[in-house]
Amino acid sequence: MEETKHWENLKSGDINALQELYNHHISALYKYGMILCRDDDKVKDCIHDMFLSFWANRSGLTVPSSGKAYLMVSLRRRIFDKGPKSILETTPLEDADIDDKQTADPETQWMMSETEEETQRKLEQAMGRISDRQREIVHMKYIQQLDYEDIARIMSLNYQSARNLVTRALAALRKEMTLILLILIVLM
Amino acid sequence: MEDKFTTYSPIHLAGEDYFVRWVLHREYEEQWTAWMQQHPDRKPIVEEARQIVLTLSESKDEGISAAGKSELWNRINNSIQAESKKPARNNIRQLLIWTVSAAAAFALMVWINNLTTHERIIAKAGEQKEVFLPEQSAVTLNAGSSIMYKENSFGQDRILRLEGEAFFKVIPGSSFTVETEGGTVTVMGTSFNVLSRNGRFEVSCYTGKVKVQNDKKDQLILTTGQQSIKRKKDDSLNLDTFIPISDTPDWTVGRFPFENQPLSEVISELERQYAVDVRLDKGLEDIEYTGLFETGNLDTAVYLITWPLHLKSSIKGKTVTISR
Repeated sequence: MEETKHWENLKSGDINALQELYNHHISALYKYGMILCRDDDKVKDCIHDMFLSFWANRSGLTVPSSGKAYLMVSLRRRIFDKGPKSILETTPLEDADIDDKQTADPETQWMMSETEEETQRKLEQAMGRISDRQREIVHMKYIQQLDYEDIARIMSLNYQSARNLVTRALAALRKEMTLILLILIVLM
Repeated sequence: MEDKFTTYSPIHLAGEDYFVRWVLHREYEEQWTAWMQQHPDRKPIVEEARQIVLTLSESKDEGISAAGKSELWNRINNSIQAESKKPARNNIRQLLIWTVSAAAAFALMVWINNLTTHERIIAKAGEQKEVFLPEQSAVTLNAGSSIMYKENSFGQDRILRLEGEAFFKVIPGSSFTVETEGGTVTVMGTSFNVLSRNGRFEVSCYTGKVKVQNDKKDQLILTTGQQSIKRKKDDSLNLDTFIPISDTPDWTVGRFPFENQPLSEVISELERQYAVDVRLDKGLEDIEYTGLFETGNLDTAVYLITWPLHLKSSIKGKTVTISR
């Protein structure tokens, strides 16, 4: 596989291989980092440090069976190691949401028809209300589309716990979305 | 597709790998179409589950802009270039610092070493080890286990640290202590087995009396034929009994019986005993296994595990694959 080749070339000191790996994974990594901590600077710093350390320790690297999972677990460790969660991270999503949408006043928002965008917005709100771990695993399952084996490895869970966590997260999401729907109806 | 899916709620179905791959990547198309034809009543459930998967997979997360992407790479690249220049600049100073710190570290190591010499005995995967401690107590180490003690003070305090599983025959005398991750075992003179692995902590008393203590200072005193098992839920110690058929545990004679144990546990033991790598198909980890395998012949051992569960297996060198 091409990916394995890049890791091997990196081991033998090819900086282009590092750049290939970076280009290939950066989008997914950044998204995942932003799920873990809603702090653009911190995510970029951690990605920077991570690639730097891959380079510095390249000769001792073992070629991972799943590069994506390996990178995700490394990034996760770095983000969690980098001190307390930022204030931004603990702020529920919907507050940030209101700032983004200052153009549309609340009333017009309620009036908006049930478009796809609306569902996405409600989902975003609901995602802000479930637990950190639930949010993380939903992201890994449906955005990164990893299988349970990799998810379990990244989050240090066993297979069954990962499976259960997804079920709980989906149940919580559904509850939150119904709740948001109800609030909207009452306010109307 | 499997029959159990008929009992799934939309949420369960939406969390199932097979289902997610079908919805997002059109994998298993044939199987799912056939399944849907067999179970037309499941249609609303499948529809809802599909909606859940699609909605979640389309959620827009903040991505990194193209500019941000190349900016970050430039930063990484610059740091790398800067790193590689550094040693050249401070060559002599660097060398001096290295020499001094290496000498200091060496001196410190020698000094510590004189204070305490740690003796460490390891049984690797595929081997069991029988050793005598300095005061003649006997320890049998199971595969993939280790003990460590301080050579200078063991004669006085008889304290050792265990990782994995071991059977002890302790010469009567002052207290004898086994420390593990899950708790501590103290005895005077007796024979007992300690298992401390993957969050399990189990102590079985074969003769005499054994005191078991966990991190929360819960205590149990065991006599012959009693065992203490740490409950996963709250780490509490629970008293249980067993029948000590022989005067040493089964594993010391190469027998590994299991009763309703998850297959993953059985496989871990197999990997340790035969120093092999087992690839277990997804979803098989939690199947319960009752039976036994023995050391000696890998083929037979694998057969004894897979046959009662109707599983298939293949062995290639040091790799065993087990599938449905």
